[in-house]
Amino acid sequence: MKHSELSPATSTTLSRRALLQILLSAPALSLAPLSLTTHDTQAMGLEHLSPATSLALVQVARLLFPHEGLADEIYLGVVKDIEADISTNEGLLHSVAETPILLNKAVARNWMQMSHDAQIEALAAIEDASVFGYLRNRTIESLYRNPAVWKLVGYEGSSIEYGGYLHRGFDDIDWLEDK
Amino acid sequence: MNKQFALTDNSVVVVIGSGAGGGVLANQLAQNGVDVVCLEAGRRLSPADVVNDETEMFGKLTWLDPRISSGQTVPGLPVWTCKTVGGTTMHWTASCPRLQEHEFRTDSLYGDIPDTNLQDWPFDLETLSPYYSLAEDRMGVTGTHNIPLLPGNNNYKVLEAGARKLGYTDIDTNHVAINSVARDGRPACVQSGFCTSGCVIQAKWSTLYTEIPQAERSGHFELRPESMVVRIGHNAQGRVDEVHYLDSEGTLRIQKARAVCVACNAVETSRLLLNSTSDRFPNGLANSSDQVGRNYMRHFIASVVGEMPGPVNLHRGAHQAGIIRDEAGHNPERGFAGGILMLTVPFAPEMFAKFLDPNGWGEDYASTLENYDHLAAMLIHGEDLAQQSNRITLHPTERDSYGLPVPIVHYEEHPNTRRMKEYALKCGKAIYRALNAKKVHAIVDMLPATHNMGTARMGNDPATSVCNPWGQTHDIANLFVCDGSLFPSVGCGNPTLTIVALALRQADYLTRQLQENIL
Repeated sequence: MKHSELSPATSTTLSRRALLQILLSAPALSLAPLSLTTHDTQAMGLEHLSPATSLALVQVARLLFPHEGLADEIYLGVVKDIEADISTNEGLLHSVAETPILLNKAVARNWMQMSHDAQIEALAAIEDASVFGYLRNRTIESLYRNPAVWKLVGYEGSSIEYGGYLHRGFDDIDWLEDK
Repeated sequence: MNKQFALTDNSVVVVIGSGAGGGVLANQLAQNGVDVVCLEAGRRLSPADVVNDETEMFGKLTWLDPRISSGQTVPGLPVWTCKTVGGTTMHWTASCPRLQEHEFRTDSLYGDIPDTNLQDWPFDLETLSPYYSLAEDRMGVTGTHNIPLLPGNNNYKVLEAGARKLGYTDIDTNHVAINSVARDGRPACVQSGFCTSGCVIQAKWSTLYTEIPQAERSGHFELRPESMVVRIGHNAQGRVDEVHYLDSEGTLRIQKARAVCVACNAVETSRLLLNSTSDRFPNGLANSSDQVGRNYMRHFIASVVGEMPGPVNLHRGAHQAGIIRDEAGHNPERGFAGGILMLTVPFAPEMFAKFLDPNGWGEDYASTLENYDHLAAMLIHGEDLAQQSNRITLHPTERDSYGLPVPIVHYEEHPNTRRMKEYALKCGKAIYRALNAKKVHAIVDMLPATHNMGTARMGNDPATSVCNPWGQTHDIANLFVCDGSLFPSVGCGNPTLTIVALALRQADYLTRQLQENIL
């Protein structure tokens, strides 16, 4: 075993690079374009985030953790959570609002109008920006605490009201060979 | 029946903490007829407060007052301990291995390992065995006292099948303090998952609903929740005689005491002793050896995750009801001292998303997460070695909301641990690969330490240890420590059973000392 597999610092750098390579070499992805417009984000009536920034953040969330089976409305929830964070930490607004600007800079054009692959490439280019870590973490907490996402990935949430899994498949595995 | 004692009552023993150490010690003292006041920093949850929701329960159970991470600790949350009645017995997975015989004698057996501060236990396994047996009976540990083992869940069956392919044989659903049959007025486990969020049906042993109410029924015990101890005071003879704490309103109270037992988990126990300075004890209480807060040990937390060919649904069932012990021995030919245990563990989707690759995102990563129901996972921990420089200290200026110095938790991994971890990951990955896992991942050192030990260790020599073999401090006869801080070495297994065994042993000793008016 190579030492690099075990050192957290080294392994994350390597795997990020490897991941980037996979992303860049992948054929054009088939995700549909956003079904939302700034009308939808405007309708949310957010106090801090503009409709355009909100829409860009929805797209960022969807590129970070793309699940084809999830409606854009689920990703809209990420923006609501970011807005809630900003209302208790106004300092966050500046760096979050900068995100579309950073992305536009990375492609020297309007990031929202770029191809899917180019959008991903730009996102990878801002990975080291401090806001990126925040957005990744917030997107994870927003998405993977959402029962709609649990359903999609097969996590069943609270079980005690159904009597746990003792009679509902805790030992139902059927693909292991017999001993 | 619920007894109340006056603050001025100097006949009581004050136990600080209500978890595995404090809760058991306090109850056993009360059963022995000793009057006890138990001060607990956290709230007392009611049964309805405990729900199947990891995020909500994390907030309700976790000690979230600031601690400073230093060295190789998780930033912001160096340890994951609890601030609630029941302490860490609320979020523990109830895994109850005994220490192995060789793990009591690491200094004698492991040879001269540079940069360690090894010390044998001042007694052996045989001495502790009767108390292990009492503890197992009290806690209802499966596979002991004719209590059946739990049935294995899918995650266990995967672990077992892979392990058998590699030739491992010492595999079962683990000794756990989770009822496999109704016992002690508590029901059998229904495999709901959520062990680390508190057990809704109380099938898992926790002092909150076993030791504490039992102590209250004795008429010799008073629990005061939301009582944050800030210092321990002493008299002119150098005996501790009072405990200063802030009540739920933030009002300073002073409880007089005949003896004091500190059972706050390694970080808080160290902080309390170090912060209780005086002219007589300028370096803190019981610290003439300068060992308080030092020799801080924990177990590395390395998780191996396999993307399996079929569904596993690892979230279903008791978390750590699955163990491989074949690598638990001391076998220097592997390139390190001490052993490792491999146990089942589940994670919720959020945890995988955060830590499977701590920088991961994108299509490939999301598709692994979408494959959640096919993931199998294990947690591996191994023996850590005492190093003087790994320690809990107090920040010189930073204060928390109680006005207490914020503790600094400093930990650097010893090369022995690094080699052990490399080996452990290789073993873990091989298990899932033997079952044709599509991919295997490792989550290493991402999670805060839950096993915190060594910072007030027992020994026979007051120059190199803080407590004697009974957990009584060498410097102050009526001051005791009763948690993982006592461990001179930590073995490779979960520490709670050993903490309970030591608490029962200490309760006997302390009761005799009080009855014979030695204290």
